[in-house]
Amino acid sequence: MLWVDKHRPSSLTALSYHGSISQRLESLAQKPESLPHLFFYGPSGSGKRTRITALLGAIFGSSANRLKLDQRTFTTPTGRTVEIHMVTSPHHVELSPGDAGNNDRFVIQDVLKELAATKNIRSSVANMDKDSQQADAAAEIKVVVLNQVDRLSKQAQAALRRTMEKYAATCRLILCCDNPSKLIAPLRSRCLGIRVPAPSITEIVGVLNAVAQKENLTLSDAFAEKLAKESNRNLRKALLMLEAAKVQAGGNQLGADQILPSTDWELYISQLAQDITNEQSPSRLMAAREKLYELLVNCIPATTILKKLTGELISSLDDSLKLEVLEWAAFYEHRIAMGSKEIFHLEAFVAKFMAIYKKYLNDMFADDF
Amino acid sequence: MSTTNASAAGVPWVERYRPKSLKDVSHQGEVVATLQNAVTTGRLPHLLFYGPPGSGKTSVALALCRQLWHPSQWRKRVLELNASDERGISVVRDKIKHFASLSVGQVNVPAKRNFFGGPKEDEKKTMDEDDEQEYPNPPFKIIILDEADTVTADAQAALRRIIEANSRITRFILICNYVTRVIEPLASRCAKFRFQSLPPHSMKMRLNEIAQNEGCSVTDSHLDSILELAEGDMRRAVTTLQSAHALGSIDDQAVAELAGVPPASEVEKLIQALHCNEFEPMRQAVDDICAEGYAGQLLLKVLLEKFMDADDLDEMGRARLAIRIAEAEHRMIDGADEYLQLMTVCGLAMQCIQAKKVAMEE
Repeated sequence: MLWVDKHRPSSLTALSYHGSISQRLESLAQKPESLPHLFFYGPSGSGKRTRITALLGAIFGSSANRLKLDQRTFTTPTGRTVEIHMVTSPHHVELSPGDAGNNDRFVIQDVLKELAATKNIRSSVANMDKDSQQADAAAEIKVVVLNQVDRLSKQAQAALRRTMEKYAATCRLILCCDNPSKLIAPLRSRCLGIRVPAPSITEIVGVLNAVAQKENLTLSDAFAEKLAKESNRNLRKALLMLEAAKVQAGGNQLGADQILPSTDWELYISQLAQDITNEQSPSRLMAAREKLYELLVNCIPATTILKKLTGELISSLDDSLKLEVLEWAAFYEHRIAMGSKEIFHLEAFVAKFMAIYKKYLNDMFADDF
Repeated sequence: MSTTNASAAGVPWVERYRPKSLKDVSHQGEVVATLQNAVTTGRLPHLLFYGPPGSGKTSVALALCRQLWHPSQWRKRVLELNASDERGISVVRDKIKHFASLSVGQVNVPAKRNFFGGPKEDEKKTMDEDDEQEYPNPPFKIIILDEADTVTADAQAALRRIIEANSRITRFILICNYVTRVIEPLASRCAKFRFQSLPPHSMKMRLNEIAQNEGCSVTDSHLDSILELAEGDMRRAVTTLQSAHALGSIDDQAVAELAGVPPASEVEKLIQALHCNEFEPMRQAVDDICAEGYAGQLLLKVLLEKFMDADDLDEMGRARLAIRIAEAEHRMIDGADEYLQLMTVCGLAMQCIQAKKVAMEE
C-alpha cells in the first residue's frame, strides 16, 4: 500500500493540521440530523477527501468504512448506456458524476433521485458502537458524496438545484472540488462551504517526519523542507515524493544531499520549454506538437501542461515579456476550457510564444545596429 | 402543515421556513398583492416569474398553489417540473401535453361557495386553521416550470401552442433567473413579474424570526454581516445562519469564513506585493493566496473594490483593471483556471501602478 493511503488519518481527532476545521466538523457530526449540505473546496492535496472520510466516520461510526464497489449502468433517453462506478457503504454513496461526460445530467437525475427519494430503515442499520440515540438520528439520513463537481456540466448542476432542496430531509450532499468558481452560484448558496487551505511548509514537514518515524526512516530536516517546497504545498505529492526518494536511496537514510525525485512528465515539459526558447521555426513547432501529443496521450490534463509550461517559460524570460506570455497563457487556457480539442490550443500557445519571442529577439538584434 | 414533528428536525431551515401562504412572503409587495387579487377572484393568467436567486420565486409559486386548493387536492392539481427532471422536447410532447389536456374532475372537498368566490373579508380570520380554511378551488390545474431558462429552445417552442390550446384548464407558471433566456413568444403569453432581491431590513426581520424560533442567539451586528454577505439572497442568508448555528458559536470571523471571503490581511499582502513592481514577489503572493483555497471570483471582487478606491492608480489604470477583472471573471465562469486568470489581473495591476508612479515623478 502506498504511504499516502497507509498513513491517511481515519478519524477527525487524528487530523494533524487545520485544527479549526476539524473542530467545526466535529461539532457538525454531533448533530447529524441538522447536518447541512457541505461543499469542500481547496487546492489539490490539501486533504479534502481525508476530511470527508473522517467526517463520515464520526457520524456513522465504523460501518461507514464497510465499503464496496458498485457498478451501475443506465440508459439515457437517447438510448445510450452510461456506466458509473460508485463506492457505497450502508450509509453513504460516493461517485464522480463527471465521469459520465456529456451524460452527467442523467446520472444526477436518475441515480441521485433514486437514492435520495428512499429512506433508510432505522433498525437494520443501527450502529452497535455508538449510543443508540445518535445512531438512530444518523441512520435517518443518507449522504451522497460527489467528487470533482467542477467537472459537472452546467445542466447537471442545474439539475442538482431543486433535488438538493426537495430531498434534504433524507439525504445530504457533500460536494468536493478544487475550483469553486466552476460551481454555479445557486448551488454554492445551498451549501455550507468548507475551505481547506493547502498545508503550510512547516505542517508538511511535520507530517513527513511523522510518516518517516512510523516507517523507521531517518529523514534530515533539510531534505524534508526541500520536499515540502518542491511539492507546492501539496501533501499528497510530498508523501509520494518521500516514498520515491526512499526507493531511490535504497536505504533508510535520507540526508540533505539526497536528489529530489521529479516525475518524468515534468522533466519532459521543461525540456519542451527549452526547445521552444532555443529555436523558433515551423519544424520546431512540429516537434513540439509531437511532445504535446505524447503528454496528452499519457493523460496529463491540458491545463496542467499549459500551467507548467508557462511556469517554465516565464522563469527564463525577460521581465518585459513575462506579462505578455502570461496574458496569452490565460487566453489559451480559457479556450481549452471552452473548446473540446485541447491540442489545438496548446499548439496555438506554443506558436504564439514563438512569435512573441522571435519578435523580441529581432528587436534586440535591430537595436544593436 | 405541521412543522414540529420528528422528521422536520432534519429539514434545513430554508425549507422549513418557506412561506406557507402569500401573506408570509417577505417584501415582494406588488407581486403578492396582484396574486392575492388573482386568488380571490380566481382569475389567474399564465405567469412568468423572474429575478435573482433567493428572491422567493419558487416560494411564491408554491404558496399560491397552496392557497388555491385544499392540501389533499393541490398535489393532484399541480405538476412541478424543474431542472432535475428530464425536460427535453419529448417530455413536453408527452408528459406536459398529457397533464395539460386532462380536464379537472369533481372536487371532493365540500366547496361552500362557487368556484370563483374567494373568502370574504370577515372570514379571513379563520384562514390560519388548516381545516376550516376555505379554498377557492378554481377549475384549472397549474404546471410550474421551475428554472425555465434551462429548458431547451426546442422544447420552449413546443410549449407555445400547448400553452394556448389548453389555457382553459391549465395555467403555466414559468420561473427563471434570466428572462432573456425564455423565448419571446413564450414570455409574451404570460404576465411577467419581476422579483427584486430583498432589502436588508425585511431580510433581517425574517432572520430574527427564524433565529427566535430555533433558539439561536445571534447579535444584531452578526446578523448585519450575514446580510451583507448574502447580498439580498434570502436563501443564502438563511443557510449561512443555520450553518453558523450548527457550528456552535456565531462570530464575525466564522461568518466571513462561511462565506469564503478572503480576510483583509491576506488581500493586503497581495497588494503590497504588487507595489514591488517585480515579477517574482507578485508570483509568490498569488501562489500563496491560491494555496489558501479562496474562491477566485470572490478574490476578484475584493480586488476590484480595492483597486477602485486605490490612490495609486489613475483613472485610466482603474478603467483598464475593471475591464480586465470583468474578463477574468467571465473566463472563470467558463471554467478557466483561476491561477492564470488571477496572475493576469495582478500583472496588469502592477503595470498600472508603475505607470502612475512614473507619471507622478515626471
